Amino acid sequence: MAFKHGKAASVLLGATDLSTYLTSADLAADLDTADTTTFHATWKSAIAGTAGGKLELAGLYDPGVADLATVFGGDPGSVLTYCPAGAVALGDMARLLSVSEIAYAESSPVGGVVAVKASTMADGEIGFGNVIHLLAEETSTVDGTTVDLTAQSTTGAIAHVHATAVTATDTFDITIEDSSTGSSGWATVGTFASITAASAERIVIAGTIKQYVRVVTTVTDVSGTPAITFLVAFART
Amino acid sequence: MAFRHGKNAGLTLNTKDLSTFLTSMDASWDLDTADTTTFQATWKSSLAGIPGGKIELAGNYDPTATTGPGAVLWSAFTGAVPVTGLVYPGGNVTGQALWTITSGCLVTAYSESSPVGGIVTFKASIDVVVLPVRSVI
Repeated sequence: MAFKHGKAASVLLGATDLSTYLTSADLAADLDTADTTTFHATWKSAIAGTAGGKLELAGLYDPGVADLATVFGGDPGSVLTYCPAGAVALGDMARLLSVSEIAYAESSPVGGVVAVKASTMADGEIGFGNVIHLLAEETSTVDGTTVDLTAQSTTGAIAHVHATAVTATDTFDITIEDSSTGSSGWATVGTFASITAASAERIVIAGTIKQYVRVVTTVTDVSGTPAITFLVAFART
Repeated sequence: MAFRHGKNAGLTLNTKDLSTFLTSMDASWDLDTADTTTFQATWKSSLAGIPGGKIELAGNYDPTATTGPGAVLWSAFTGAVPVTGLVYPGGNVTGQALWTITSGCLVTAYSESSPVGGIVTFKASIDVVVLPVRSVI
């Protein structure tokens, strides 16, 4: 067993790491069921319907962090990655959501800190996967560390990139590669759009994903001091 | 009498033993009834309908890749196909009850919670969609 404290949890929404503003995160997924119980049945029966999910966030108000407020009421598609026990090591668990925010609240008690709450609804499948690039800076073209995802799969994947800081004028291309051995035979399976500013993107990958994956960063240096801080999460579907 | 402490309880879902991750398990079986109470009755009456069941789970999050509760429950949830469950209310030892639910546990809800001041936890709800068989180990 390896139980985890909640203090290390991470939530990234769009281009912002909200972790240091939040005090709780609650992910809930549910499955509709359709009752199929008929005459002469001896026990209730049902068949599976459609799955859905939501993420509830609570934290401390900061006027400099507007993401939770600005995405409220917007079109679905905000990229959100939730790591229940944190993103401190490659392979840590990550939940990948494309969300629409359906509720946002600010609370100003006379005797306490100003607080915020937000409710988001998943738009499409929630990915249960892993962090394959920690929220860290890269300053040159580099092949990332190999992450062992335990087995090959054939039904595709979802991937998120959250770029929280990007130097102006430079361009960064982030791709995901897979390999059967973890040491050779690397091939690109996912490509994010070129990044020139703080941003986030969710991509859907079809087909076979081999056991090992890594993130490759390619830098087009114009400034002379290129740097990008980003996290990539990956979930087989 | 042979009362049992709740700490002995156990659950195996889809061949994976989740017992050491759980902090509570509530299995309930209920029977629909059709009220037959009429005017001038002195006491309510009813007819038996169809029984059903539900299992509520709560426990500590563990990221273990294939045998942790997240992996097992999420796999069953997204699979949307009933899996086999073995429920041990008083533990998996001789003399204790065992509910065998063959291909009848449909995971209908799964949640994770990360409080800044405590341990990461999970909850799950399971609809029991076949008649469970009770036996004594």
